[in-house]
Amino acid sequence: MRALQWIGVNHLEVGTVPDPVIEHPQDAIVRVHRTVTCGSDLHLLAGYIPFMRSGDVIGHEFVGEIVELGGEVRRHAVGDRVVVSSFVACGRCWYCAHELYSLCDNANRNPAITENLWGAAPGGCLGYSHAMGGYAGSHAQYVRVPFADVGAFRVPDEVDDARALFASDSAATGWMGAQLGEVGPGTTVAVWGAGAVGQMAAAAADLRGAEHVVVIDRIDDRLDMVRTHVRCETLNDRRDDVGAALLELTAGRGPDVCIEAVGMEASGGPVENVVDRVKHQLRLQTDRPAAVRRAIYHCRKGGTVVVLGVFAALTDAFPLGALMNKGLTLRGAQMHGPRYIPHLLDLMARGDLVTEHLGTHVMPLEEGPEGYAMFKHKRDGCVRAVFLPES
Amino acid sequence: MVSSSTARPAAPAGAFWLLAGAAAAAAWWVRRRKQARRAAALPLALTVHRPITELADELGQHEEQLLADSGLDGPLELAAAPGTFGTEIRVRLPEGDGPTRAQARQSLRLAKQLLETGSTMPPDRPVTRRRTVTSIPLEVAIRRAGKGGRL
Ligand SMILES: NC(=O)c1ccc[n+]([C@@H]2O[C@H](COP(=O)([O-])OP(=O)(O)OC[C@H]3O[C@@H](n4cnc5c(N)ncnc54)[C@H](O)[C@@H]3O)[C@@H](O)[C@H]2O)c1
Ligand SMILES: [Zn+2]
Ligand SMILES: [Zn+2]
Repeated sequence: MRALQWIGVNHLEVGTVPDPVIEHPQDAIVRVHRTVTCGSDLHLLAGYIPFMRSGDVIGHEFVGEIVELGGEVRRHAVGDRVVVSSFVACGRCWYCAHELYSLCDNANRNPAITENLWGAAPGGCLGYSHAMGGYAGSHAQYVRVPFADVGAFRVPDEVDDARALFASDSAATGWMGAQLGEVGPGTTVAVWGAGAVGQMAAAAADLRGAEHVVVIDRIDDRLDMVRTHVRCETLNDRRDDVGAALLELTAGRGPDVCIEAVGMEASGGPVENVVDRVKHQLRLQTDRPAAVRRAIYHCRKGGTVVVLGVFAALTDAFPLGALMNKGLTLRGAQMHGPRYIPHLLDLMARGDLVTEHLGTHVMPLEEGPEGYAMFKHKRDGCVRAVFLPES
Repeated sequence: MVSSSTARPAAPAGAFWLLAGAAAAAAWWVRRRKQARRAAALPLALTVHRPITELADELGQHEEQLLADSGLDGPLELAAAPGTFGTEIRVRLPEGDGPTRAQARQSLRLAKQLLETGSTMPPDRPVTRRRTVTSIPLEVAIRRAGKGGRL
């Protein structure tokens, strides 16, 4: 089959790889209809997650059709149209039983790597390096879905592929951000990052009844897009005084919940950028946390900061003083897909959650490398590039 | 004259720091070895999300295979875990020759998967396009990824 492969740092190619087969009785094989780029892939592409083998198939947000099932799959039939959680989870361990699916004990085939790095191994993720289990990704004609009863969900007929696609990862991550922040009526939420994840966090905050939602980025196309589809205000931090605007909006308190949806390649102020980039390149730190710093600084006393952006290991100039002295709660997680996907599909079926506009560029899988170049450099208003393996 | 008298102690000072550094490194190495030996004397332990009553029955069927696979001479020690965690399993490795801790780790991890999910997940399969010198450490890390770690 054809698949988009990571060949080396900043080097992707479409190549021919063996078709996936059922390796475990709870597997399903899915023919991929649509598969989409994610900001997380940019960290792999840039080489900041050094656990990729040349030839690995990337991609983890997709929708498709089941074509083959292992003997122990109960909830699915061949022909089901499904959206699949990017994180792989067994459904039976203590973490899965407590709906902390991305922390699954049994889904990472290479636990030692992250046990040594972080003290314990989270679960696995499709197409996201050998540290996350070494599973082949979805930018391909077919993908093996482990524990299909847990991770794959039938898409309601009213929801088309273009909308359902984003339940896999970005909409679920955004929803988790609002849930971890306990966003509800009366809450003022500020979101850093207007990529698909930040936009979905803003949508989730609004759907959960937040009083005010403010999205902060430096790309006007993206800010315009989120304002068009979500009831929110936006700030361009290259132009606006973000701190003053947030204080004014909340009459001096600051946002109750600050959601960071930028990740380890964030850009900051001019000096901060130079220092962070040099340290990053010299591997003196593995992460550039400019947006986390801002989220912590602007959060009201006693508020909650939620880190949705992906970080690899270590960071410098972390504002621990602000965190401690303002009595903040800091939360973060990889997304617990199966916990949110059914509810998101309901919201999509009712038309309350609209996502298809995030797929700004739709193209054949064969054009994958150009799609990533466009997405990485945010060219031509690209928010996400969607690949069609069948065309 | 003045400059030579101040310059002279520089050599002994350099040697002193070198020696002190070497001594500190040696002390660190000895401490690490001792820590590693103490850690090796601890049993391997993990928690399975199943009630102890159920597990005691089922382990009767698997234990022989599990012990044979890992070369452990058992027995497995079971204890109810606090709260909702399930059952704690501990295995003491025999002294002297016998299975390496690494093999035993792998077996215990697979046993947990089997007990919790009913099957084991096969290891990561290589489909490599290009091998380079820089990919060697990664290949080593992947090869050890089921057997190493903090279990
Ligand atoms: N927790 C999870 O499970 C999960 C799931 C999916 C994605 N992610 C992570 O979420 C992050 C965002 O993903 P995405 O797909 O939306 O990425 P993206 O690259 O499309 O968007 C990131 C946005 O952040 C903006 N940005 C950069 N620096 C900023 C700053 N200092 N302040 C405000 N905005 C800034 C960029 O302009 C860009 O619009 C990534 O780190 C990704 O890895 C996490
Ligand atoms: Zn993602
Ligand atoms: Zn699990």
